[in-house]
Amino acid sequence: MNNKKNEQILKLHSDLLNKDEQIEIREMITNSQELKEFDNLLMNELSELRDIGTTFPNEYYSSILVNKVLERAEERRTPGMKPSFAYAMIVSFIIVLTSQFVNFNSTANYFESDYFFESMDLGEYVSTNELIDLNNISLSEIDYFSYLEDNSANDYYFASTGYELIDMIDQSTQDEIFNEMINKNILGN
Amino acid sequence: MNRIEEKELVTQFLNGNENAFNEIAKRYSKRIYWQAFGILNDHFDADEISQEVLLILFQKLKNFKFDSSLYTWIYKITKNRSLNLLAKRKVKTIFSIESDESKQLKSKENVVLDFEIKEKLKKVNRVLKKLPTKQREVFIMRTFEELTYQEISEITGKSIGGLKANYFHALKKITEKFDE
Repeated sequence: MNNKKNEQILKLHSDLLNKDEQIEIREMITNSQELKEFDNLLMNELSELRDIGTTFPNEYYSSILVNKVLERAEERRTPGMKPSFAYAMIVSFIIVLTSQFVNFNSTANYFESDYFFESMDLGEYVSTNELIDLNNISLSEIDYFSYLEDNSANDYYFASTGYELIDMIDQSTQDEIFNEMINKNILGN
Repeated sequence: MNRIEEKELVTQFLNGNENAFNEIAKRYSKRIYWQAFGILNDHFDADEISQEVLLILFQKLKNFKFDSSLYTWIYKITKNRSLNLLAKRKVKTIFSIESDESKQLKSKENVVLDFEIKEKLKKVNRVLKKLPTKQREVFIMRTFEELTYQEISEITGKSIGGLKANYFHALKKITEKFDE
């Protein structure tokens, strides 16, 4: 094949030739079987490709596309999480969180206390039995609190009432009483 | 479609006329498809991009200012989306064990319809695969869409001389097989 002439044919179809060049190459095509064949091959090839490109995708494609687009647009409008599910999640979270606090310290669980239904709280017991005068607390009362603490099934319970009573004593007095208890070996050490 | 017709169609759509959007899709979906194919060289990806571009049109047509033709705007969106997908695909290819052949077997019913079409498409694929992106783009616009160089220049922003040169080189590559 005459490559230079073939290139001129390609330039003709690319609109790269001036008018004179176009006339010249058209004459050559007319007068040469080889060039004519090449030109026909090219035109057939382009025609076939054009045929596919203009008929595919088919006339239904745009309708299919529009349906898909409307579906996707609708999906984007709908929130990912439905409100009822969100509320359920929040309630579940609260329940889990609450259960953590309720079960936080089993020894401090009020309802597990052996003393809950059987006894009044320490403060009530002490005051109703007039074991101490809160304004004039003595060493024996301190010892008593300690005794109850050692023997109470409910340390947390004691802490909420017993220590409140002890805290009514000023610090220097507490120190004095503590030293005496140690000296007397009341705490058993 | 001239600018006045475009404006009318867009205005109708924005006023709630769904048929206007159907008409826009009908006029441009094929062009979007082949433009995407020109960049991605894959029919499934071209279909995906076509959906995305139409979705963008559906949602963002209200932002179109008519400072260019509608198709010029669509062309830019299609090109950006296609290039983004191309970049993603390149990364995936490094790690993917899926071959081109297995991808082709998973044909989507609504894109590749029957055997005859598939055979014709194989031919198109073979031809267009030879071409670099710039040549493929101008070849598709000139051959499939039958646009003039002037129209292609307005859409793409490229010079007419450059477009002609790219088209010439595309034809040269296509006709190389004539010597085989």
